[in-house]
Amino acid sequence: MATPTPDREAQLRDLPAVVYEKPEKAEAVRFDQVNLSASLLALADLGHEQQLDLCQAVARRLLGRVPEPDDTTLGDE
Amino acid sequence: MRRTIALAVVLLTAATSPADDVWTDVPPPRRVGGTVTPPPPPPTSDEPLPPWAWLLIGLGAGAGGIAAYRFGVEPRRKRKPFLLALDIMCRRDEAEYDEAERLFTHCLTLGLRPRDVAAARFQLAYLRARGRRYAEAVAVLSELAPGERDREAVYLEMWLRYRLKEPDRVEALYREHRAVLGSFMDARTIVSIVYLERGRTYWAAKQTAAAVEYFNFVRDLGVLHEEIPEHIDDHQLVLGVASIHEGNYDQAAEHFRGAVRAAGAAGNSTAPGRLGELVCTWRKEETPDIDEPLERVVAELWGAAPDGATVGKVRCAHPKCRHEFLVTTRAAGKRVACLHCRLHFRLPDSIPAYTDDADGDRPDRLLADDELLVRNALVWHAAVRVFGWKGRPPGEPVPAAEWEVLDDRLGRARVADPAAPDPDLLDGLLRYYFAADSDGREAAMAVLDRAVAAGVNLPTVLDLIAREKRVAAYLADGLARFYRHAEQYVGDGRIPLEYRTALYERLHPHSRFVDLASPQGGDADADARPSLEDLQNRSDLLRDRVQRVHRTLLETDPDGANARVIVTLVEDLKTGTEELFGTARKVERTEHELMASTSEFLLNEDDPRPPAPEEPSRGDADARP
Repeated sequence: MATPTPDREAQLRDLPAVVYEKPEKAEAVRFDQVNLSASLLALADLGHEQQLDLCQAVARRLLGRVPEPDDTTLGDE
Repeated sequence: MRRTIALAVVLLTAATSPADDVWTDVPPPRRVGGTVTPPPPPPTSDEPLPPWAWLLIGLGAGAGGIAAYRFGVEPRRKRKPFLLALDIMCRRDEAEYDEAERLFTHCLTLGLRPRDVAAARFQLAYLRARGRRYAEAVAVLSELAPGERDREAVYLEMWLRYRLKEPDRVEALYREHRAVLGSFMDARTIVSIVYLERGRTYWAAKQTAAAVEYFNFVRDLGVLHEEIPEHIDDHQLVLGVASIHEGNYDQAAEHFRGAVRAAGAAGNSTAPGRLGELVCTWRKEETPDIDEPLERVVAELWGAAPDGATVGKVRCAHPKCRHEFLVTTRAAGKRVACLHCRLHFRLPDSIPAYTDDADGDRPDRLLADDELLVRNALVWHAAVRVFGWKGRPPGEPVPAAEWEVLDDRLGRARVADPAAPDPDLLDGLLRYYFAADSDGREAAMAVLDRAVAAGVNLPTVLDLIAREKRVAAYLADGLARFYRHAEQYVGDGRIPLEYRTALYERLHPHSRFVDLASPQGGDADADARPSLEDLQNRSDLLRDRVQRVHRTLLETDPDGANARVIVTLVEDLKTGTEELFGTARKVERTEHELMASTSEFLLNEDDPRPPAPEEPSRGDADARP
């Protein structure tokens, strides 16, 4: 009796395919952190908070105070 | 085994060889006179073989039979399950795969030839892999000798190790058998995935150089290279950015200088590297002066950006996201990061122009990498100008020319990205802080509202907007209340007609009160006259209404003359009301005293009571006996 020879390559093809799973959002964000284009303002430490600080510092320097809404005398109504 | 074979051979030889070693009476050949005289032929006789010869023949035949069984029948019998199992696998009859697995498992204990054992192991591993019993599959496959690991076996083990999440083993297998595997099936995909994951792992551990090395492996393999973060390409930039994150500005500057050199040598733009160098200076120095060098880089970037780019609508390429965006048509084919799912995808090579759909919502704007760089550089450029204002003398107003420069820089940033919140945040805050009047603050609020709509969510800014809106609502509400109060005053029959008529005549000419009904009736009758409490309440209410509109009065009265008059009147009303109540209380007290004294006097006249005994004085006490 001749020895049967299965087609092993065909067998391997029947196995579930290997599929690349995209990285999660957090990982994508991590890579964005080294993207000079996307993170230039963050690298320059100029996020929104720092922009607010900068404007307040300029107002404090030039006006002597940081103007605020005049709501101290408003009633409770 | 060898001893058995040797014994069988000896016995068979003995049994079948001529009986030259049989003891006979025939003499051996003799040499006579230099020639060999052949021995005389053996006598033919019918004598029976001696018993020992039969014994030898029997032994030989038995050994032959054993050997035939051992090397013919038994191996075939042992191979039978193996062949049956192989037959099942050839037929690919999945219904019998369990039986095949049982047979292959049995085969491993039968002492089959090594080649058969290797084949059985492969098939057994394959069947277990199909059943997702990866660890069992690897266990049976790992018993293969190095010489038995052919391409299919190595691939199957790689596949299994990948499923078992053993990247080290996958990597080692690929390195060891790279030549054998070549581009066989998914071998490169599997190892590319492992390299990508390793790159990410090293990246998360801040081992940038190792991460970049693994991403380069992926690029060399040529599979899944589109999954390599695009900006990883420029190693010097990446290392520079990583150094900034670590606070090592000197090292970062060194990397950025390297990036500038490399870009220059390759004929690419040096702007990213130069921006990186400026970031290092900006972060490192206390009062950095980078306005001019930044101006040069920004001018280069801005000049390279074509004007009037048309936009097109695209969807995120990831099936779970599919978010809609607007992109410039010149960004076709570039990789972008989805603002919604944060994953990267490549834009189509052709993007049809988008025309605003009046009925639909306008999708968010998505910028390609180079557009992001221009936008952020422009925002930074504007902020650097504002930073320079910190060096101006205190109390001195910002010159109009400076405001123009800032407006120009912010305007360019808005053109680069109309949806960016940063230009509106900077602009709105500065406009608010330096506003000369309520109109200026109102305009600043509109700009800050846009910034918030674009994504700014700073508590301070949100609070500022909320408070400012509350003030505006308070003023608007105060005016409405005051006008309503004036209308009620004119129609209030408890107030003397002359006052109501006078107010009517002063209000009626104004458009707001053109429909005001004229006061009716005569003076208030006695019953309708207000009590003291009514007067006090009216006074309090009016003063409250006036206070609510007082801020508006001040802002619409530059020299403050009218406002001062009104303040005086409010104070007079307050004082008058208080004096009225003081007088009323005095009247009541006097009334009480008058009533009590008169009553007592009258009562004493009618019915005098005996005088109350007087308190003895000290003098009297001394006078007693």
